Amino acid sequence: MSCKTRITNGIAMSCATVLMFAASAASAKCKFQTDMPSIVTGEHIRWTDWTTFSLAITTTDYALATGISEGERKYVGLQLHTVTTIPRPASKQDLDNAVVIPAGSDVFFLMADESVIKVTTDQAITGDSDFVMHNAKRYDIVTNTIVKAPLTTEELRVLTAQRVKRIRVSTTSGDLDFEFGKKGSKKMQSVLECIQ
Amino acid sequence: MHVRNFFSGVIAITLLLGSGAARAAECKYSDRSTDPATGVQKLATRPVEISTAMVSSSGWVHAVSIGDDRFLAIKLRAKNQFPIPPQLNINLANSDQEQRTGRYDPRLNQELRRLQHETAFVPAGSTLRITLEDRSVIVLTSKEDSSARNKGWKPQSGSENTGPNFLLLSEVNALYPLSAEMIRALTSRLAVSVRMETADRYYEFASRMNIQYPLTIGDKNGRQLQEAVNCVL
Repeated sequence: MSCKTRITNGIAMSCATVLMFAASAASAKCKFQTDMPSIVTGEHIRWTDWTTFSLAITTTDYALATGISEGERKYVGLQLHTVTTIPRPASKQDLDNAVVIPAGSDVFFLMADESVIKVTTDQAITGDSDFVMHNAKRYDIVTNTIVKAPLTTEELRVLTAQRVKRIRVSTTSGDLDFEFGKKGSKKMQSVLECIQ
Repeated sequence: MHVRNFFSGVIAITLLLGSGAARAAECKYSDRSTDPATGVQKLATRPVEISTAMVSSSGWVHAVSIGDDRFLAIKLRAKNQFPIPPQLNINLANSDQEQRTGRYDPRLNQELRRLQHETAFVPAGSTLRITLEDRSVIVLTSKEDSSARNKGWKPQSGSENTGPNFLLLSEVNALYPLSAEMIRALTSRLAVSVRMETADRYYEFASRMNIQYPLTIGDKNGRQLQEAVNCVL
């Protein structure tokens, strides 16, 4: 039974109190690293704190998630940390082309019930790369890519209601897959709840 | 009546001096000169460090005004290593011996000269990308070529720290004009990250250790950069 269907004033008041506490508890959890109007568009921009969600134990690649709102538009933000090893110093072209995600690229969310949500990026993205030298024959290109994919109200609702098992991001040089467990999934849900 | 006027005057002068002193305390300049030939005044703020000790490259920013024009000046100090190109096929053990006898392989000298000429060179049109805290990005473009001062070492087989690589310490100063729109953005938002382009690579002035802002220059440095720009307006 929802709070609205309660008949006595006393119960209605306690319901309201519980809801207020729940709302304040949820908002207390929400931390925003960016929370201000854009100097370019004037729209209010909010980015939640990043939360780590991928299984980073077995690989050098990992991902973080954030919930983003720009005015009325909502986005899921993914920060992809990838490492590629090459046998020579990286050229500027290597760094520019390490991770390229053209506008209109697909981002797939494999949900716990095996359904798939497909969202599409609305801007071209190039990862920021730097290289680390280990020895004369081993160089790592370390790339940090921030992917923003717009979400409809329904997609946002499903992503916060159900556990995500895997994320696949399409790039010009192939797909990047990130897998995560229940704990990571809950973290991702919590940041998306903050922009609902 | 005269006494009251006198005290009012003293208070007003004290307040004026106080505000002037406060402004002077905020704005510190490393260069405050006037060109004797043209009479154009130049102001350059003290450097603001925009990188952390976590990376091998360091950067400093000055806000500069020359007459009516405003600039950001960047000093980059970088440490780079380069392997011996495979086509040289040099036996370093022999080279070490030759170095001791003063007959070092000339091809290594030639390669070092090439690296010294090319490393950390900032051609005109190179970009300086600044990301602000509201996630907007401004891109400054250098107007002129800036060559680096490069100090280099040839590889040696016995080098433990660097391996058998060329080691170059580079320092370059580049100047980027600021438009009124860029100044408005820089003075109303903190800079979060700065990426400088050179002919051969990019330099990110940040640590990757901070998860929230993976490439941040830090709040304190961002505020100092903002103050520096305010000091040349």
